[in-house]
This record gives sequence, structure tokens and C-alpha cells, in this order.
Amino acid sequence: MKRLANFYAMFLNLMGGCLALPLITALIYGERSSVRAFALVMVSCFALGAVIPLITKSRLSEMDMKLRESYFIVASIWLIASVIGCLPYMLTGAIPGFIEAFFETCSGFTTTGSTVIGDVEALPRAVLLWRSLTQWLGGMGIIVLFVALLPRFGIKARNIAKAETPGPTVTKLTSRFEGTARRLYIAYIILTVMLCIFLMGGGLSFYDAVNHAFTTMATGGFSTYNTSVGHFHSAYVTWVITIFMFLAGTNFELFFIIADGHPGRAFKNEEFRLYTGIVAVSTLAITASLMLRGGYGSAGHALRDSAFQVMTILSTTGYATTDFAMWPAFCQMLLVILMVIGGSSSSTAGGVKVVRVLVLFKMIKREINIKLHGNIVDDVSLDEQKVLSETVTYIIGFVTMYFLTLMAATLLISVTGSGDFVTNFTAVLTCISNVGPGLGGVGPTCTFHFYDGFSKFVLALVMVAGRLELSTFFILFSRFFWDPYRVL
Amino acid sequence: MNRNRKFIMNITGDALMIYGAFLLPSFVLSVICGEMPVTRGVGFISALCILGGFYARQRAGKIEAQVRPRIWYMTTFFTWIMLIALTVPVFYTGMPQHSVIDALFEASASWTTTGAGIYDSASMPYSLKLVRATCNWLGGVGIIMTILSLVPTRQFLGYGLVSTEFPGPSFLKSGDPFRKGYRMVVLVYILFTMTQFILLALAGMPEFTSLLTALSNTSTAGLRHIDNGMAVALPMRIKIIITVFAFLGSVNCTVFLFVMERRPKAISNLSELKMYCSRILVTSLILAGLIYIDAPGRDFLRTLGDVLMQVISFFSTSGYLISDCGRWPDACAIIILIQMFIGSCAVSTGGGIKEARTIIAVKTISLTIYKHIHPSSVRTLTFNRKPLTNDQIVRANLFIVLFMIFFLGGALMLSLDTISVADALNYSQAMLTNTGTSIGELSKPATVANFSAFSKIVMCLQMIAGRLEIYPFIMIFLRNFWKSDSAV
Repeated sequence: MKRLANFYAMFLNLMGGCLALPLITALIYGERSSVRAFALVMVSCFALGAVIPLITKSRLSEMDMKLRESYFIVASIWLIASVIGCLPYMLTGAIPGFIEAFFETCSGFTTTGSTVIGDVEALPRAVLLWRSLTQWLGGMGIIVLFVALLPRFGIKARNIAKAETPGPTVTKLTSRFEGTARRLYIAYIILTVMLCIFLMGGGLSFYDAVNHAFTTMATGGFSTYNTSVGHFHSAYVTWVITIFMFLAGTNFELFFIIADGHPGRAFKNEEFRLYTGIVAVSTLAITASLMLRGGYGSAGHALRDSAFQVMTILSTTGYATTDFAMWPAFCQMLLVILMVIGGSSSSTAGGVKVVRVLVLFKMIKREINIKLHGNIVDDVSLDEQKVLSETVTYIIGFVTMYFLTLMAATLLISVTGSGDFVTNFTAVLTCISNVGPGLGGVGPTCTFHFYDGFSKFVLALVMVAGRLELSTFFILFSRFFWDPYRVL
Repeated sequence: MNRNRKFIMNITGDALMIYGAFLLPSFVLSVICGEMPVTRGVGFISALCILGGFYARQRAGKIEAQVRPRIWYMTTFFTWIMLIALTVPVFYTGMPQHSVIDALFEASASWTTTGAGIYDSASMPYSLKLVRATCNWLGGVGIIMTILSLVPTRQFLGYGLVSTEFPGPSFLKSGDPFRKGYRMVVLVYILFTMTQFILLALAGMPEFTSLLTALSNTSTAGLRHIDNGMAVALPMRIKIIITVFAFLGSVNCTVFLFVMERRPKAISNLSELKMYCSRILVTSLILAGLIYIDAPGRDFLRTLGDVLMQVISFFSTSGYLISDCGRWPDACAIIILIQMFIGSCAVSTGGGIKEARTIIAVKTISLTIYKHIHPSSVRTLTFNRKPLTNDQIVRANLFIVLFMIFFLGGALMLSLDTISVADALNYSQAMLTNTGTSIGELSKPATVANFSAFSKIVMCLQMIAGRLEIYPFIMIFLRNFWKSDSAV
């Protein structure tokens, strides 16, 4: 308990530090209520962060935790972050209700991008920046940031980060995981700064560029405008964001492979090739559908809209340049499938992940071969390396868990009868995959405000579960977690 | 002629002869009723099947030895496709006002026990209704199973061949030899059909309608012969008989084997049966509660009874409408729709993912979480108190994933038609689970007839894939399926 309390204290200090950015913004724009709110939350975080170590009298080096505690820390930190994160919304009056504010904060930290706010432009600028910052912090992972900032962390950093990092693997890019975390964040920061510069080159103000760079690189999808990226009416901005969404949905480890002078190896990566293939085929299919049935006269316009929408859904960003709920059913259905697939592993994207889809298809092929030819030996391999049977079982377990959670949560929010099947199904799908918009009542031009408190709470938890790759979250509800000596 | 070809010709020859023989009552009825177009069609196809089947068997000679699994799948798939193809001319000549594609849809729906259709039952000739019910019965029991049970020389083929038609994670695991098992199952279904016919006739249903109901309902094909499936106005005693037999049709055949072996303890150990019954009861209670809240004046017990009958209809994948469910709250429809994915028990005439696989999937999730907490532990899952191998676990989970891929892929294909996303999802699920009734139809009549020819073909393929549990269907698209075993 002592060790956990100390960890939370450090986390509170980190949160306090992060709140400085919106506080400065509030001061610059003279938003008094925002200044008061952010200052109060910031001071409270620092005060608690200072008091807890004094009470527990525990040092950092003593914190060598068990795996079980690591999972608990990650899941609880995400829930605590979501509770602290909603305070500025409530104190500024931007979102007065706790459930709504909790939903919005979960949507931020988990980089989902779903919102309950009808008129985003009416919010104070500091609050909007905080909204974008929550996504940027959640994108690469709060814990990974923690590990990157605090060297000699003393705990089993890799185990903790593994519970948070998207995708089935966390590769060791350096000998110590702290180094890996730092390198991941350096790449993340460089890409964010580059995008910011590119967006300013397209005529965006510094404020808009920072906000959209934060939410694009985190594949979050919050915008400072009601009409999202469509507000800028700029082909340049649309294409720049499309390209950076593609990069954000790519496995970040590939950037280091390229930086180390092995671009060929990166492009041979099976996951990357499938990811690129999905993007290309989906874009062309939607472009063709829009030209034939969507009422688009120009192929260029159709290609731009379809490429943007494919990337925003596949990378689980969730921006909108157009209301795709008005597109032909084929395009909408394809986007639903892309929501399930999601981006690459070790990226900031959500969803099942391309690498898992790839392994699944290989498993299906292997299963068919076994059925056809009896007891043949046919291993599943990825990038010319055999995938261990344990990993295969874990992957299939994850995907089953994904679909069962999708069904169970749809069932739960349907009991209250707030929406039709498509609305509820895509609302849960978009939350579990951390995308943002769904279809029907939660389409790109709609919000989640019509759901009752219970449904919003369930959806918020689904977002956190999806962001933490399900197992890390569901561990907390397992009897084996609370009674470690119990056997299955 | 090589061994494999001989094997396939033998089995398909038997299937043709059995089908030809089963068509004879319809032929006689068409002559009695003076339905000349049907007489011509049924007479020709019946003669063709009997003569063609006899010739194929004579040509192939005796089966000399066992063949590879590849040939089992090939035999099952070809037999099913051939029988569906031979049923198309019967429907087309009987209802010439409809297209060949409509006849194909009707034939596929009949064989796969999907309660969907294009033909209006009211205007359908009596003999054609009997053809449809006959196909329902043969498709429900399984043509391969019927061959192996009725033709003495085929009984040594056993487990492998039957499991390609009745796949499932727990096939007929009773104490008796497998051969005795499937013979008993066919006998049980014949007994059920006869008992149901007698009970329905005694309850006041006209004899011919009783016969059609008994044939269709035992195979969980629905009640399309009764006023387009609307059985709401039937007397309560008839509804109860129909519900009981739909339930029995959807229960794992192993239960009946245990009943005949007088092993009540073995039945109580069947986790699939317990879960299936619990799911029906819990869902009925929730739905009755929701309906009662929506309209508090209703008699709760009567509502519960109505709901229970309707829930069994959908969970058994029969899909007939026996209650006024069009007036139920939307939430009820969504709750049923989601659980329709699970469907009935393994090794039954019902469709869907199957209860057994769902139980294994839930246990896999539990194991995954347990492994996260205790990574070095060695634990196995059990099903019906017997340990499961890793292959069985992966196989059950993989099927669920494959099912979802087919569901989403089918919906994508259907969305090429001018329908909404909701309809695409609903119909995809209805066809793949062999339920046949889209949830949208709870409040409006079936609209399959309005779909394009392409969509109808897609739905036919989905019905066949759902009935044969996907694998035999996708195998034909793989190169390895057509390669000899030595070439792999």
C-alpha cells in the first residue's frame, strides 16, 4: 500500500505539471474562471503529491513491485487521471455534470474523441487546450511518459508499460526500458512539432495548430471547432493531417528502424505492408462508391474525402471533414470494419490492431490446412519468426474478449433503451476501439449527450478498457486478482 | 477412377437417391392436388436423383479404404451444393412467376433451415410447401448423417465425415460407439417429428399443416408455411407444442443419448445445456421486465410466457414470430439480436456460434486474465468436467472470430445494395445464424424479395456458410483444398 501511495504521489505531481500548460493559456487569453479552476486543481495535485510521501515515508528505490501490482497501478492511474481530468471541466462550468465530465475526460485520455459537448466553440480556450492535451498525454501512454521522465525508476518499468502500451508487443529498442520509453516519446514529440509547423504553414493559428497537432498525433480527434477539420476548408490541411494520421497509426518502432539506416527492413514489415494495403484498398473502394453513388462529381474531391475518412477511422483518430453518415451504406459499413481493425501495434491507435488481424488470418489458414490434411506441422510465423503458441492463444483470447465486450456493452446500454441497434452498437464499437464517431445517433455530426448517465458511464469505462487492451482493465474485476492464492 | 473420386461419387450417389425418395410424397401430393407444374418439376428431379444416384453408385463401386479429411470436406460441400442446385428447378417450375435467383434463395433457405423466404406461402402450391418442409427436415438432421444412418454400408465412415456436416466442440460424446450415436440421433429426430405431428393434430391443427410444422419445426427452420411465419394467432396449446419442440431441436443431441442411456447425472453435468437454459430464462425475465415497465397494465405472467416462447424461437434460430413482439420496446429487439449470435447448442439443428463455444470463449478470457496475474502458472480449461487441449481452445475461439468476420464481411457485401447499414447488419446476422428473421422484421414484414440478385446470392452463400459452420465453405477458395495430400 505504501509503495502504491508513493507512486500515486509522483503521478499527481506529473498531472500538476501538465496542468501548467492550460493555466498559461488561460492567463494569455485572460480567461479568469479558467485560471482559477486550473490553478486550484494544479495546486491540489502538487499539495497531495507532496503530502503523500511524507505520510508513507517511502523512497523510490524501494518500489520493486509484483506483476499483479503493476496492473493495478496502470488501471487505477488511468481511472484517477480521468477523475482529476474532469475537475477543470466542472470548475469552469464547461461541463457541469460529473458523469458528462468523466465521459469527456475518459474520451480525452483514451484518445477516443467522442464528446458530449454540442457547441465546442463556446468553451474557454484553456479548457479546449486541456481537452487536446489529455489526448496527447494518453496517446503514447501516461505510464510510458512517467517511465521516460523518471530514470532509475526502480520498478519493473517494462511490465507496467506493457500493460499500457497499445499492441501485443513492446520491443526493447534500448537495453533499459526507460531508454525505449524516452525514444518513443522523442519520436512522438518530433512528429507533433513537425505537424504543428506544417499546419501553421497551411494558415492555422499557433493555437489551432498546437491543438490539432496534439490530437492528430495521439489519434484522438478532438477539435477546437464544431465542424472539426472541415472548418478549415483546406485541401492542404486535410492532406497534411491525413499523412500524419497514417504515421500516428504506424508502428513507432519502424521509425527507429528507418532512423538506424534500415528502411528496407521497415518496409518489409508484414504488419506495415498489411496496414498500407488496407489504407489503399479501402480508400479506392470508398472513392469508387462515392463517385458511383455518393453524388461526388470530382474524383479528386472524392479521393481526398475518402482518404481522410479512411485514415481518421483506421488510425482511430475520429476527425471529420464531411458527414460520412450521409455516404452510401457500403462506405459506412467499410468504415465500421476499419473501426474494428484499428492501427498498428506500438502506435497511438486503438482497435484490435493490424498485427493481430494478420496473425488471425494466418491462424485461420493454418486451421484449414490442419483440417484438410490431418496432423501436418504448420506454424504461424510473422516477419519470418515463429509466433509462440502462448502468443497465439493470447491474441485469440484478446480478439474474443474484444467481441464479447462489444456485445456485452451494447447489451448493457440497450437495456436503458436510449438508441437503436446501429447507434448503440457503433457507440460501443467506437468507444472500445477509441475512434470517436459512430453511426446513426452518434454519427460524425452528433454527440453522445442523449445517453443517460448509466450508459455514459458504461461507455467511459469501455473507452478505458479499450485503451488498456482490455486485460489490464478486466484484471481489476477478476476474483483471482483480489485473491492471488485462488486457483482456476 | 481413383479412390477419392469413388468415395465422393458413392456418398453423393446415396444423397441423390435419398433426396429422390424423399421427394416422392410431394410428387404424389402434387398429382392428387392437380398441381401440374410442380408434378413436372418434382417428378423430373425425383427421377433424375434416383437414377443419377443409382448410376453414380454403380459406377463408383465399393468404397475400398478410408480417405483423407480433405475428401470428407469436399464430399460434404459438393453434396450440399448439388442438392441445393437440384432443388432450384423444383421451386422454379412450381412458382414460375419468380426468378431463378429467387428459387435459389428459397432452396438455400430450405436446406439450411433458415426461416427466410421470398415466396408467399398463401399462394404456394401444397406440394411445393411439402418439398420445402422435406428439405428443411433433411437439412436439419443433415443429409450425410441420414446417409450414414440409413445406408448400412456407410456406417464405418464415422466421426470424420459426420463432423464436417455437424461440426462442434463436443460432438456426441456419450459412452456408446459413435456409429450407434448418430443412428440414435436420427431416430430421435424421427420420433420428435412424429410425436409433434400427432400432438399438433390432436391440438386442433389441420393434418397437413401439422405435418409441415412438425418437419420444419424439428429442424428449427421456422414456420414459413403459416401465414408468412406469423403464428401469433395460434391457440396457446399449439404454441406450447411448437415451442417445446423448437427447444428440443436446439438442444445438443448428446442430451437425448444420455436420456436413452438413463444417465441423469451425465445430463446434469452438461454445462452447455445448463447455460443455454439459464440464458433463455434470464433473457425472458429481463425482456418481460422491460415490457412490463413499458406497459405496466399487462399481466406479467402471461407476458413472461409470451416472451419465453419468442425467446426460444430466436435462440433456437427458428425465427418464427409467435408473440406480438412488434410492440415490444426497442431494447428488447437489441437484446435478442445480440444473443442471436450465440444461437443454440452444438450438435443440434440450430445455428449460430453455439453455446459450447461461447462458454469456452468466456473461460478463455478467464484463463487469459489468470495468466496475466500468474504468468508462470500451468492451468488447463475444462468443459463438461473434462480438460480441453490448447488446440480445442484456440479452435473454439477462432470460430467465433471467423463468424464475426463473415458477419461483417456479409454485411459489407449486402451494403452494396440500396439498403441501410442497419438492414445490412440485421440480414447478415439473420442469414449467417440461419435464423432468417431480421430483427427489423419484428415490426414490419420481410423484405428479402426487394433485394437485388447479387444480395440474394450473398445471402445464399451466408446461409450455406452458416449451416456448414464456415470452414467447408471457405476451403474451396484455397489452393490447398484442390491439391493432393502428397503435394502439400
